[in-house]
Order: sequence, then structure tokens, then C-alpha cells
Amino acid sequence: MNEHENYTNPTDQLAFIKSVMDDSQKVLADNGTGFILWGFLIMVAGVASLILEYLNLIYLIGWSYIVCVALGWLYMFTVDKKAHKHNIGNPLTKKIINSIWIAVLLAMTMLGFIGTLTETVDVNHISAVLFTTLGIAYYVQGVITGKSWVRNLGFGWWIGACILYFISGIWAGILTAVMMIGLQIIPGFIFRRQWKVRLTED
Amino acid sequence: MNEFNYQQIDDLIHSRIRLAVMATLATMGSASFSIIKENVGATDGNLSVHMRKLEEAGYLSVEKSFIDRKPISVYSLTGKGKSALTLYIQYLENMLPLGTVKD
Repeated sequence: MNEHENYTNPTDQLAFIKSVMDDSQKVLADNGTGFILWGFLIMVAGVASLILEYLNLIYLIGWSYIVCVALGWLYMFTVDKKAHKHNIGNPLTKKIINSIWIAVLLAMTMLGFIGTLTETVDVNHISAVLFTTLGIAYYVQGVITGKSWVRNLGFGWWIGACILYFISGIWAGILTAVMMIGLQIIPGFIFRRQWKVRLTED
Repeated sequence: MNEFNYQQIDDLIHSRIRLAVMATLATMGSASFSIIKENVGATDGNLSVHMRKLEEAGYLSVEKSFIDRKPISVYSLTGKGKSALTLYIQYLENMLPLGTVKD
């Protein structure tokens, strides 16, 4: 872009401003910590539940999830709120995406605990139900920010969820772990890396 | 269609790069140097010169900090900058023939 290459036509100049503003609306640099932490906590809860099952302490499995999910929410309302000031993007875009994530995580918490406690959701296929919901947040974030790879993560969650509706036991556990690493933790690190690159100067 | 009257226009914003910087910041609220560069499509050196001009005019404010020992500069529009951009857009709209500006 050349400094002296100015538009002399007000219509073009207004169109130029609009196009720059449209491009700016899609920009979002998330630090990825939330993705990494939630993925890590669910992995910890999953491993803990396997150990507790092995030790015949099945009644404690629910508690391992309660503790991990509570830690996740505690993070959301403390550290994550402060970290948000470093997430760069259009305020409305940030608000929409943040609201979607809060809504999806709240829905997942309700399905995971109240749904299974009341036995309205089958505990053996809870991952399938949760991942169906989780896919929505990734899909919407990808569409709003114009990142097709993030949108495709949503499809990844939905495809995995479809498989999880048909399987249970150890294979379901393995698939859940693979999805949590591949579709949650690794993307979290990618977000973090991109955020650092976009914020810092060489 | 009317042509610009260069006597009346804010020359500081009229430059395409500076206008793009102002429009980016007006939409995003605040942005790092790298994000502005990505959105505007300018080189580091060229953008730095324009950013400095806007900063010297009091249109931009900058907050410098560090992440993992790397410096970050987060820019935002000042009240003066927002008013200047609003006036500039109003001026452009006034230049258009009647009935061409849609709500």
C-alpha cells in the first residue's frame, strides 16, 4: 500500500473503509489457555476414573469429574477473565464467541451432571452427547472468525460423537482421549502460538 | 459526483495506510502492531512511520508491555482520533450525491 495512492472518489474511499472494517471484525487472537486447561482437566478426570474403576472405587468417579469441572469453572471466572484483556479482537466478536463458549460449557455441565444423575442421559454414552454440544462452539467460532480449520474441528467433534453413540467401554475411552488431545489440547497450543506471534514484535 | 476538496480534508487520515489503521482500530477497539500490519497489509518500516505520525497527532495511544519477555504494543484510538475519523467519514458522505447514502 502506497501513502500517496489516495482515493479521490468519496464512494471508493467509503467502500475502502467498509472493507477494512469488515476484515477487522473477523480478527480474534485467543491465548488458547482455556482450551488447553479444559482439555487437560477432562483428561485428568478420565484417567482418574479409570484408576478408580481399577481400584473398585466406582462411587468416587463422579467426584473426580466434579472436582475437575469445578476447577475449570473457577479458572473461567478468575484467571480467564483477566487474560481476556490480552485477547485481541473486535469487542462484539469477542463477546459473541465468549457467550457461545460459556453457554456451551454450561450446557455440557448440566448434561454431564444433572443428565446422568437423573438418568435422562445414558452415562455410557455421555461423551457422545457432550461432544455433540462441544462441536457447536468450534463450528460457530470458526465461521465467525473466518478460520476454516477451527470450523472443521467442529465437524471433527461431531464425527467422533457419531461414533461414540455406537460404542462404549475401553474403545470409547480411547477415542475420547484421542479427540480431547487432537481436537482440544493441540488446537489450544496452536491458538496460543498464533496469539503470541500476532501480539509480539520481532 | 463531486471530487474531494483537499483544502478541507484531514490529510493525516486521507492516506490509505493511515486510514486503514484508523478503521481497523475503530472496529477492533485495540490491536497489536502485528495484527494491524496483517489487516493493513503494509511492511513493518512503512507502517511504523504512519503509526508514529498518527501517534504524534494524538489520534492513537499505545500501551507497551511484555509477554514471555517479548515486547508487545497495543494501540487504540484516542477520543481525538475517533472524532477525526467520524468527521472524515461525515465529510465523505456529504460529498456523495443526495440519496446515495443508505442507512
